[in-house]
Amino acid sequence: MIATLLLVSVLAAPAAAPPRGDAAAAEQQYRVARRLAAEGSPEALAAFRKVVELDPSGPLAPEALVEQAVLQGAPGWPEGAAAVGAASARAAAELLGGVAGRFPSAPRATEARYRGALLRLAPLAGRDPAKARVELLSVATAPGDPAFIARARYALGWIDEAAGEDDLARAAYQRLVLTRAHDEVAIRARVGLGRVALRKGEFGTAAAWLQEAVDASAPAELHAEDLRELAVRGVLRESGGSGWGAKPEPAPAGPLKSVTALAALPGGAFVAADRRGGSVARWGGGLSGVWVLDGPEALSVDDAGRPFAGAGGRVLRLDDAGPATVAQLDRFGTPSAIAADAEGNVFVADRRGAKIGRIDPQTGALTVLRESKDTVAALLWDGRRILGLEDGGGRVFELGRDGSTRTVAQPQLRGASGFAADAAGQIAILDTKAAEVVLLTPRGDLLERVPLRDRGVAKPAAVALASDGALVLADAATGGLMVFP
Amino acid sequence: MRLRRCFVSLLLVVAAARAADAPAGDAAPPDPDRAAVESLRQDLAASRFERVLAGATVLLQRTDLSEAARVDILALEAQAQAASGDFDAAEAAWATLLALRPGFVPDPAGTPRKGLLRFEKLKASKVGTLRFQVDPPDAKVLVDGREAHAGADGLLPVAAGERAVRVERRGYDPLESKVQVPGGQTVPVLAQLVPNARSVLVRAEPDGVEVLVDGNPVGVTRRPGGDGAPSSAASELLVEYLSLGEHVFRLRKPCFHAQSFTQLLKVDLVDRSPKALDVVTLDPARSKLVPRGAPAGAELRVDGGGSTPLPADSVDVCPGTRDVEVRAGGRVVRRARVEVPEGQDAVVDLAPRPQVVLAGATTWPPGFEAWSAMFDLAGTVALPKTDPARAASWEGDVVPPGVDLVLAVASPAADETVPRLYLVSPALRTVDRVATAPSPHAPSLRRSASGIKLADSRIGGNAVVVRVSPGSPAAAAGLKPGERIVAVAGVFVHDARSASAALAAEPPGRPVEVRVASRAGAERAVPLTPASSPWVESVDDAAPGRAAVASAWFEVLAAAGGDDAPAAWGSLGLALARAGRAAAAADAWARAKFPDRAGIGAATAAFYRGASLVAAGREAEAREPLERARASQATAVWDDGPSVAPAAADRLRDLGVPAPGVTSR
Repeated sequence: MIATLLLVSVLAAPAAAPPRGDAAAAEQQYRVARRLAAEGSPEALAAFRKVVELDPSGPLAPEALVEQAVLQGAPGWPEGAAAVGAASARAAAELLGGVAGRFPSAPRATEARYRGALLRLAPLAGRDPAKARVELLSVATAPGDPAFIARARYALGWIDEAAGEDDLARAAYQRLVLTRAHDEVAIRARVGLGRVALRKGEFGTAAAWLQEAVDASAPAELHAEDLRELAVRGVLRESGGSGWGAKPEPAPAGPLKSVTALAALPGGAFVAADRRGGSVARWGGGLSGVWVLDGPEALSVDDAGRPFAGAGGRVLRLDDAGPATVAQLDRFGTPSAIAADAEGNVFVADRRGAKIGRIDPQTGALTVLRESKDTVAALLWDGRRILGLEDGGGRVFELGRDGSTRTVAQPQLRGASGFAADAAGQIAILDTKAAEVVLLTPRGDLLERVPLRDRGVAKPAAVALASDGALVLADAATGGLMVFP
Repeated sequence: MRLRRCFVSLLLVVAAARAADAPAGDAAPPDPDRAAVESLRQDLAASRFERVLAGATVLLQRTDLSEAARVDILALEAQAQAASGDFDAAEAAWATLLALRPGFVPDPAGTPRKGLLRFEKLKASKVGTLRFQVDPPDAKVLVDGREAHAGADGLLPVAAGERAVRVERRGYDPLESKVQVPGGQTVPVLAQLVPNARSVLVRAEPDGVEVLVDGNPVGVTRRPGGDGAPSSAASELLVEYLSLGEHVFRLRKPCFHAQSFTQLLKVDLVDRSPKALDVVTLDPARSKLVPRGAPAGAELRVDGGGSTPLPADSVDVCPGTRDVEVRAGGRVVRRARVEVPEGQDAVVDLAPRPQVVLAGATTWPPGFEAWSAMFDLAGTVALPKTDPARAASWEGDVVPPGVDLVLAVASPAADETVPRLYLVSPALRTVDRVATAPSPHAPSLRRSASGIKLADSRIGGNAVVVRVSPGSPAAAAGLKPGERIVAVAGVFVHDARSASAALAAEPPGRPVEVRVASRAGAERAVPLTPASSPWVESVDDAAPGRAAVASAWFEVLAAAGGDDAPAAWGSLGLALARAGRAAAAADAWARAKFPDRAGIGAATAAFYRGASLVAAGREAEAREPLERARASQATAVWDDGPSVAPAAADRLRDLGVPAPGVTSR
């Protein structure tokens, strides 16, 4: 009886009044914080935090919370999700969740929910594209800020595209092009339509969309010009020509004496490894990073443009601040091949190439997926799938989650030693014994064969496809790079 | 004596009852003189003679008494005197009265016989008679300056003595004379007036001719007997009393050649009837109005008259200033005031224009002068009573139907120096405050389409042909992917954008030389004939008022019909959707009757209609048009635009309709 009375008493008590703040002081503080943010000051984050402290329930509190999340790195577009660090993502998610929970009717509530959903796309522990999709769909179909509703639709297309659902992605992107023709979201959608068309091998269509995006000043981070170049190469190949220039041009290899591994970065940049020299360098329009490693064997670049290297019995992510260990590969030793997928998984081949394993992005644990006498020369993430290249004949296979393989191409090469893929999913395989490169469609059909020796590349050692589709080769004879533009 | 008084009282009661039975006549305002007279009359009827006499004495001393009241009071006084037996006093009153009213006769019912005899004797000495014989008989007679009316026998009693007589009539010289009138005698007055003017009967064909005499308009001819008169009878106008001498007559009527002539008018003492002029027949005057640019299917009205279906090579109209209206789609799409020269063709541009009304002004405000050349000023309205900056203030019947745009000029605020200008779009239900005039030019609803896509490339060169639509003009010209466009119509193009712009600028249907180069550098020239494509304009210009102006054009071009109407309806649909009027947007797209074809066509309209229906919450209705769009090869914006099928599929996905596949563009 007493308990019941107490319960009734608690239920009948008036709800706790929200803490009353100083609205005027919060407004003044908000102005200061906005100015600091505009100036790029590191004090801006604390300044916005103080806005919330001054008036926790005031109208500027949700504004300040969203601004804090943005400063923490909450992405504005799905392409930016990969760049968020784990700590920043947690902090931003908490701030944005606070807006969605406490201020569901605030002017920036739609934005908060949208940015919060994008955080689930970051290649971090807890990545959950399915949940992101549900949340984005909720944003897209509920009343709110039209600009962020449109962004949510764009992000839905982006998720479909990443999942290989090209038709669904195209539908979402094209809808935005038709209904928000002059907004940035439509420009990004045009780039997306170009990417989808590239993936489908519709090079003319891709080139047209990408030209429109370039004409509309597409954001540089989308690399529309490079993608357009790639699309035009496809058109030229379809019209009976080569997608590359006839004569290669030498390119500086930076501080490296002999390039033994090569990978392309977005925007025309590269990373290259010198096993003997014990270093990895990054350049593109100039040297932008050098990492000293213990005998780097293999390189890979993930969708976010982050380079990974296998060196000294470890897998390392080559951050600007220095190499970060992803996993210690005790039994594998230094991997002969690595590939990082969109979910943060890193696939590795052991020193001999007989075993292929997967490193879990959350635990760092290595799971052996496959062991075979057919050794692999290289692994590759082509944007949709993990591919393996077998030594010698150069069979290209798709690696399943369970370690199974499915043959994509069997080009009958003499000495396949490395391969690369472009944004269209086209695969360039380097045959060092024949000194040639073959270019295959994503389905494995031969597109072009490029003999190297009579074109000035005497001893090709590594291959990459630049973001604009140019063919880049390391020449062991000279220790430098040669680029077929 | 008692008996006599009783008799007199009875007479007075009878007389008073007669007076009471007299018709009251028109209700007149209360007259104090009349009230005083009535009071005396009642006293007389009640035999209160002393009160009558006392009252009459007081009243007659007043100088402001009207003559009519004075006459009545004198008559009552005399009657009271006579009734009282004081015939001398009565005679004195009658003498005064006869000077004022020579024809006065006392009421025999209220006057004793003796009094009547005394009166007759007095009258014989004070009053004489004039016997008038006047030609013309309806001439006006004045005696001593006052109009007088003789009886049917021509007799007119007047005070004895010298009388000034004047006889006058319009159109005649007046006669004046002094006449001695002895009391009790009759004096004849003969007056034959001499005419000094002549009436004229102007006769003309056709009816309704305006007549001017010596430059002054005097009337319009009408057929005798009115509208039902036989058409053979000439129309007439009687012009009365024209002075003698020479007069210039001018007869004119719109749409007829005017005629002028001189007429000499003389006196005819024998024939005084109006002088009938010969019938003047005016010849018709016609010119041709040659309409240009008016939409087919519209109708033309001149001066609010009957309608002429368009197209028409020319329309017969009267010379002069003509108000022309073109109506289409149940509204006016063009109005113009045209000066039509006589005997010449007047070519007039009647292409549809937005109908604009001014609010708070009667002329275009400064800075908007150029609008007069692009828009029709359809009238003026008052500013709404509430804030003109609010769209709700313009709802209701503030703006008349058929108006595409309102330019409102409101007073400046306290801290401003120039009027506030607002553009009100009745269709969009928006109000934009503008500082300067947005461009009034019509948005283009048609482009040249070639079916070609170009891209720039480092390896392939600039303006590389990357896509050629099957069946397109580019395909017909033999352009191939991988080739570069070097020049269009002899003009060098340096990249994809300039090449596309150059092709789009070429008029459709006319071959243009396109110079292309292979990857190896070999050049060739090919003739390419661009096709004409509808263009659905999306006004995304954030400039204030731009959407309102564009929508005004879309509205009028949509109503005008013709080839551009579907694109106008579609463009209006886009503008309505952007303004948040989804249901109206869906209706607009329903009226965008594109043909069922690849490129921009019926399925394009179906897609946008479906999208608008979804936005309006009518999802069940949206499914059918969206499914139609999804299964089509239709494009958006224009024939070379993106396919609508994928976007339709995405919207259907929102509605839970599975996508069987989408069509690439």
